[in-house]
Amino acid sequence: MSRRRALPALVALTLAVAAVGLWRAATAASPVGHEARVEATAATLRCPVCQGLSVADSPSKMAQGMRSIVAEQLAAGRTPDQVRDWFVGRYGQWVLLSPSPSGLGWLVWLLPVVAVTACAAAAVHLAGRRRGRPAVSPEDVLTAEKVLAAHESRELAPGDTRAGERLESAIALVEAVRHDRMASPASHTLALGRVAEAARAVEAERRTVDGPSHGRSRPARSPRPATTLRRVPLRLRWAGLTSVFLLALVGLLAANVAPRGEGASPTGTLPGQEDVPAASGELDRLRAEVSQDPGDTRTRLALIGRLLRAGHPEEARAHLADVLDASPGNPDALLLLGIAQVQQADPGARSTLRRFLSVAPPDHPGVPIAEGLLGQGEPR
Amino acid sequence: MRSLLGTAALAGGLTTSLAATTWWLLAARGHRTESRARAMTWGVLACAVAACAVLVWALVAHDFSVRYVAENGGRAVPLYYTVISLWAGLEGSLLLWLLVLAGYGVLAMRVTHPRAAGLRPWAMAVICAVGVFFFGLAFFAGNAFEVVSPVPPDGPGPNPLLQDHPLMGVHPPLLYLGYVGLTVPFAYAVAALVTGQTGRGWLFVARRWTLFAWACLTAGILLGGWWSYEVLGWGGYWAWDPVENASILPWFTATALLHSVMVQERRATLRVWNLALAASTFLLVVVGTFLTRSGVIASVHSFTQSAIGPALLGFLVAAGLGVGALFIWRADRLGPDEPLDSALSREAAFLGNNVILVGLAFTVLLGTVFPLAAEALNGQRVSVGAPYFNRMAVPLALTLILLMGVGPLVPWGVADPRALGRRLAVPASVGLATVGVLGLGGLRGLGPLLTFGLAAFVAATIVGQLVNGAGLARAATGAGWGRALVVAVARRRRLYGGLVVHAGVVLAAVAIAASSSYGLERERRLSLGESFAVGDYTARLTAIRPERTPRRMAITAHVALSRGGRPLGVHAPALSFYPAATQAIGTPSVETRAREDAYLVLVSVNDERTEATIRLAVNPAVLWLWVAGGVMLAGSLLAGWPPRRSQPRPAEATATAMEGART
Amino acid sequence: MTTAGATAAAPGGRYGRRARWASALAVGVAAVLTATVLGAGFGRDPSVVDSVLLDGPAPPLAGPTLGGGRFDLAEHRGEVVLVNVWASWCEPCRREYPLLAEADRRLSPRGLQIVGINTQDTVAEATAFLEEMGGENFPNVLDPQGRHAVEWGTFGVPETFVVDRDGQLVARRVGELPREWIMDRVVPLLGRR
Repeated sequence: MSRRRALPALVALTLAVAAVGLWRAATAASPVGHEARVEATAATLRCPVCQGLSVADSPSKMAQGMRSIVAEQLAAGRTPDQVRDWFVGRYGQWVLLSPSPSGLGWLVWLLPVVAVTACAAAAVHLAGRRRGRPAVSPEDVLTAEKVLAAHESRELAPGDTRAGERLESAIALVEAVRHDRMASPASHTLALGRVAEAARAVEAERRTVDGPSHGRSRPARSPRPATTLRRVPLRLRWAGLTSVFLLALVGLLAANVAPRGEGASPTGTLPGQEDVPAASGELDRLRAEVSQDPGDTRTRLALIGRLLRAGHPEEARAHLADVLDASPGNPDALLLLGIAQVQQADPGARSTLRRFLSVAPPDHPGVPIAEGLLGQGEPR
Repeated sequence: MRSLLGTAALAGGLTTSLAATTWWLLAARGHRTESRARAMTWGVLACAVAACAVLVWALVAHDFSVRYVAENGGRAVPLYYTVISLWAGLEGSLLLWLLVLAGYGVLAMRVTHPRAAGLRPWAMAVICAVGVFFFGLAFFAGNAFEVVSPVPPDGPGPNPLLQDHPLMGVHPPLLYLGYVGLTVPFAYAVAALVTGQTGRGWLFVARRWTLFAWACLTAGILLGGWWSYEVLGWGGYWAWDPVENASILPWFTATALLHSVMVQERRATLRVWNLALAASTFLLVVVGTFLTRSGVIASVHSFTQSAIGPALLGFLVAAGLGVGALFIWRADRLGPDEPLDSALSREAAFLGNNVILVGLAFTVLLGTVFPLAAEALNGQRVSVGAPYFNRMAVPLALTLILLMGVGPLVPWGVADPRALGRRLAVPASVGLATVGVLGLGGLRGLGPLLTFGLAAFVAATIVGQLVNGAGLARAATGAGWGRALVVAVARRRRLYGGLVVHAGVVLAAVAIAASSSYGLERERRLSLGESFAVGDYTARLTAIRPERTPRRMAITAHVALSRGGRPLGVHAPALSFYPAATQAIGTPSVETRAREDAYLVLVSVNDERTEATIRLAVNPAVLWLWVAGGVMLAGSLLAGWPPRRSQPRPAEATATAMEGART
Repeated sequence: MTTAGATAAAPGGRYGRRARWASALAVGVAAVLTATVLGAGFGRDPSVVDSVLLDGPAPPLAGPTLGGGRFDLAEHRGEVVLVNVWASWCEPCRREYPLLAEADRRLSPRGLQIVGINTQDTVAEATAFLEEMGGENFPNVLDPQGRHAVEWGTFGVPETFVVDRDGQLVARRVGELPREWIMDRVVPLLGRR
């Protein structure tokens, strides 16, 4: 409790100290003393006999003479601007190392500001032009996991086409998100959505390209450029199916646990959430199936997933207790338990998720999810 | 005879590069000329090597019938400086340029990526075409091998500034390795545009070449700063001289490219942007070459005026028009750019980085050519110098440092602001505390204080990431911290190499801020035995010694330096008078220490050699700027070292098979 | 930079004819601009800067001379004065001195006053220089600190100015003087005596 109160105080203290420090440094910045003023003024004048050096920097005799003129005039009470004008009267604008913003000179000051602003505006436009984040359906996640599995086993050959590039970059994005323990689960889901979308585009492209072939200008277009989704082994499909539920769930949870964005309510819209009402029928079906065959762990896990998604963590945990009794090291069950605990704000969530991480194979699709959930906790 | 041999080498280079260009073009159009093109590319390299070798031979043999030797050679010049006189003059430096370009041509031909195989003939044609231009330039506009008649008995020796420090043997070649190396990414960008394969393919090759050239350019720029500091004797390392600006312009855009590539790799966006960055980097290289070699701008390092200037300008304009036309022709394949998911994401941070870097490049370019533009527009002569560049560049650079800390912590895709806040909390407090402590401790100046605070912030983020990575590896492997760190770094070299480079940049920023803000300097006329103090340092003039060699006349002041009463030995700043130069060249003497440098310059000596004017400057933290250069190099080495060969993926196998089928 | 237009003008991926023309125009304009701005520098010495003092009143010049006397430009109103900035360590000054001595000998009867500004030099070396050249022909104002040189807006040595009878600065030459320059810029100002 005391830590809770100490933290804001600490933050305020740090900010205050920094602000005072900045203020002191800024006020101490103006050079005092004759010598410093001479130096500062001389630094703005160009040495006539040197190559681009200032009067302050140049060791030449001429610059020494100019420094003594600056010193005399400043000592006589003239302002640095008046001193500079005196030199301009003899050497023209050439003598000023910092062009005066008169005549054409304003261009050199204004154009960079305009350029940077324009670039920044373009970047903001690109970054901010959000096309409402696409809904990622469980089917998308399934497709994506299949594609990723194919990629892992090096069976994926997206062609050098627009869609192929999209697919590759989407896979790279998923990898980057999974490497980053801070990436939000929503990023993960979105990235998977991208993979699915791109994979579909590759498929579509393959279908059109299999017809008439294009001209010589696209030599790199492979004769078989498409993803070989059909070659994905059966067991991977199952692995994918399992992960579909988990990922869809986590996507949902993530949005509830960690609301973000402008005005997103704590129960903000989630990818795939719109089909939750329809899922209640599915829920009943799964419940019936489980009651008929309590030993079918897979169906039970599916039910638990649905329950969690529908917001019934208590019921889910009852099922989870059964599953875990039977096989305490079941990683899927551990992950789901962790998620349920997160939903219930149960402090045991962290240890459950850690346990999941310790038993799960490193390529388990839930690993990044668990890492993401762990990452959301307090800083370690 | 050497003239004939050299001219023959240049003529040979011109014809072989023409042939190589033609055959690469034919190979790119599907003809069976690739093996011939390869042989010709080797031939171009052979000609460039031959031309350089003949010139070095002529220099060493003091063959003053060769124009370049007559203008830049000298019997009294030591062998080392005779050999490196190869790049002391305009024509010889063109030969070095050609040698580096031809070397890159052969390397680019041999090292490639299966994914870019279809682009290689086109890229090689572009590289060879650039070679045609530069061989033409060396042959027609600046032939170093012209015969001089009558043969002079001796030459003036190279520019005194260039024969004063052994570093001149390393700095220009490194700079050229960086400068010319940026031709390869440009060539691949052009190839991508020509073939219409504007996707990721070209980046597979271009990224690594850009990184290599970038590392060389970084080293070259820093060595140039070192040379300026150790030889020119004005006490600084960067003067915003047009030639220095010319070297840093492509550095900015290449840095931007190295970052934006990562966005395209993961988001299939920024196609035009990356192509444009690669193209403008090369165009800026040509602009820089033009500025240094045309004589239109007066500068410390520039060469004199000749026909080379207009030729380079013509090449620049032609290249710009060509690239522009390609972009317009291929406009259909460049867009549209996919929008990002969130303004709070790694992608967005990279965009910000690009805005700043391109802004810096634009500002420096504008400042450098503005005097020319103003003169062309209304005939008025104006100057744009250090005060302007500092004022414009410092805010941008500080923003860049801030992004350097935040960027690597923001996750890809969509960042959760609260989680990001938690992640940034510790580094931010470190930065703020630094600002507070230093500010209250009496540090002067807002700019340096902000730099130090931001540097502490970025350093904390880097340490945090290293600790995190090592912690994960430790948990996974159960190894000790040291071993875990090695494992973590080895697993993701690109990430950690980048972080090391960032650490180097931050260190450099701290060194620059400290040395430019807290230097002390005083100049005093001393009689023998007199002393004066600057800061903690005291300099006492003990002797003035003249020294005459056939090459030069030097006057050395012996100055006993001490710090807080503790002697630091005798330093010998000198003034050298070369027969070819009207003004004396000062050679400073630097006492380098971890905290600060004591920088001694002999300004003048009276006729009786009883009095000398000595300038003593105390420059804080300069050593760390050179260290930072080493750190940046180490980082780029870590990031760019080729990975161990693995089994080619089916995609690559397909591409290779296709390449085989087409040739 | 030339491609910035290309991104902006690509709505939905199709790239219209007008956008193409606009981009082509932009590229062309950029190329012409580059060529003009960078090409403007050819054929002139970048280190030579026109003096802003030209066609205005000449700056004051008064002080002790090398021979021990005093010189004040204000006392020479009504004469044509040629002001030559030089130093003993400057090689072109050495080459051009005989011309100045000759001009002094032949043109001073027609109302030309030559005065040197011996800048950034020591008395000993300057005296030695003049002795080598056959003695001091015209007064040379001492300027060890280069103050006068700055006052006159010089960029180096040698540099030569011509002040007409009304005290106006009418000509300036950077670098070694050719004989023709004296014929063209100085002689016409003198009377026909």
